Amino acid sequence: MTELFFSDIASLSQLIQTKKLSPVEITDGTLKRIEQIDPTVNAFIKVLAEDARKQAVKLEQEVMDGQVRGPLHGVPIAIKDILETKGHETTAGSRVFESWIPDRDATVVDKLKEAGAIIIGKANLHEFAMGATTENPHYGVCRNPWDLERVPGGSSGGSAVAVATGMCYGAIGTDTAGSIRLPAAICGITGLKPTYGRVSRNGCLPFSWSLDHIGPMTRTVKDAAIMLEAISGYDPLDSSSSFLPIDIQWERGLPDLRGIKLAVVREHFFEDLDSELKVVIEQAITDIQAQGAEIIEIQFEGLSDALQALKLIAQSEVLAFHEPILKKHQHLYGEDLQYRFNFGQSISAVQYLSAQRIRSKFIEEVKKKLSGFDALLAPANAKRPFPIGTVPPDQAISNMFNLGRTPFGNIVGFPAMTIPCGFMPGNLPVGLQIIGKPFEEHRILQIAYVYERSHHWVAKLAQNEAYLTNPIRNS
Amino acid sequence: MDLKEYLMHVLELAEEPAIQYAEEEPAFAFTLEERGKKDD
Repeated sequence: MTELFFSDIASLSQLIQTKKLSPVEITDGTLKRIEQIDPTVNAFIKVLAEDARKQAVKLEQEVMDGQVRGPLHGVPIAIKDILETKGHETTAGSRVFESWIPDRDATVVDKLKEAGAIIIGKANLHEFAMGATTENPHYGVCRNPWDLERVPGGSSGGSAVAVATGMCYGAIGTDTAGSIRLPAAICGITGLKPTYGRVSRNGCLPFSWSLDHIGPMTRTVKDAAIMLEAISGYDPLDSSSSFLPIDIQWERGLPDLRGIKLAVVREHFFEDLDSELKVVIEQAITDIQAQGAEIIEIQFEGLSDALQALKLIAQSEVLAFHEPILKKHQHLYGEDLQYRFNFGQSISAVQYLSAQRIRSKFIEEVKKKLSGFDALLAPANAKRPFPIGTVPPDQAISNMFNLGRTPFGNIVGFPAMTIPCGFMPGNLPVGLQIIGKPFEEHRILQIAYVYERSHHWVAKLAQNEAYLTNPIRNS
Repeated sequence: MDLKEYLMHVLELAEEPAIQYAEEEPAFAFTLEERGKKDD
């Protein structure tokens, strides 16, 4: 049975479509799995058992009637609890929104339901998605399934842990500086931050509106593509929305990586890495080269300034949303967020506007430098995840920069994904980041898919079951 | 209940927070051309 919980979406869908497994059986099994595992890792703020069962019954009937909606039909998916779900609390991991029950679904949730997905629960997160550890002061600490005494990364820590432990078949995360990719890398799964505008943010509580992205977190590359296809598309309710369709032919045409040209930037991305993590990343790059890709080192002018600009933009925009709430309800926020807001209050309008100008100039530089390349390779995580309870609250802003090499993808808005590429000693996963050009998700999916086909790191997720179910005996 | 209603009536805010996803000009976005907008 454990094997089934770690199935990929594509295989599960085959079992549903051929009537070997029903959506009701899968949903009941998943709910039991959550009952068994979640008390150990705390990945969910709320499990939507009743609704999930109702939806499963309806979808099962559709299968019996020969009306399968697509590969997500009858598949349990978790949603980060910062996206609106009609009739269910959407807390954003905060006390401020603990009693908010939206009267609509976020566009992404709506699209998943249309595709036949079963919303199994609302996943834990760093409060308001504003941190890299998912040590939530209101709903409890989410734990790293590979080492329960360490953080799982964040802010979409609950989504990553739910996928990594077989408590759902895919999850939705949000990413403002790396909140999909960092926990995905730390937990040993795949995480995809699409191009800015590819997926509607309507119905997602804002962190930083010019940096926020929504995307899939899955066990395999193909599953990420399946979910991306379901949730992307133009939405008039998001003013930055894209009209471009996803290239669904991504799976075809790349037997290996011959003819693929990949850039590597040593500045920032490879600086101050954990030495054992660095060995794993370098090996992954060597493997990709052995699969035929050409790897060329390049430099970006203004990289350091652009990353500094991200901090100014994020802290200004987050304050614009929260300031009126802070005036009345400051006591409801966690301690680390108070430090963030203090920093935001020190930023002037001139600094914010200058940061956006630096960003625009930097995007042009990156477009120019990447014009002859298919993608950029980089580490996703940079350090061992912190032991729980060891991060001082005043370090909240720098955490994402300490733990990951992901904020670059947000400042430029280009698509970026992480795939598992090995383990550090201590059985801690490492993620390889593949960053593409705007609206070229298909290309990074292709590269990731070729690598994944010859490196079966995903199998390790199910093998972690022994530790997860008896961490003391196995430690 | 929608977000604005929650903010104004449950949290009883004196002013409405900035929510810039739908109604306003985006602070940052790829150009319409890059986003695939075609002239009708």
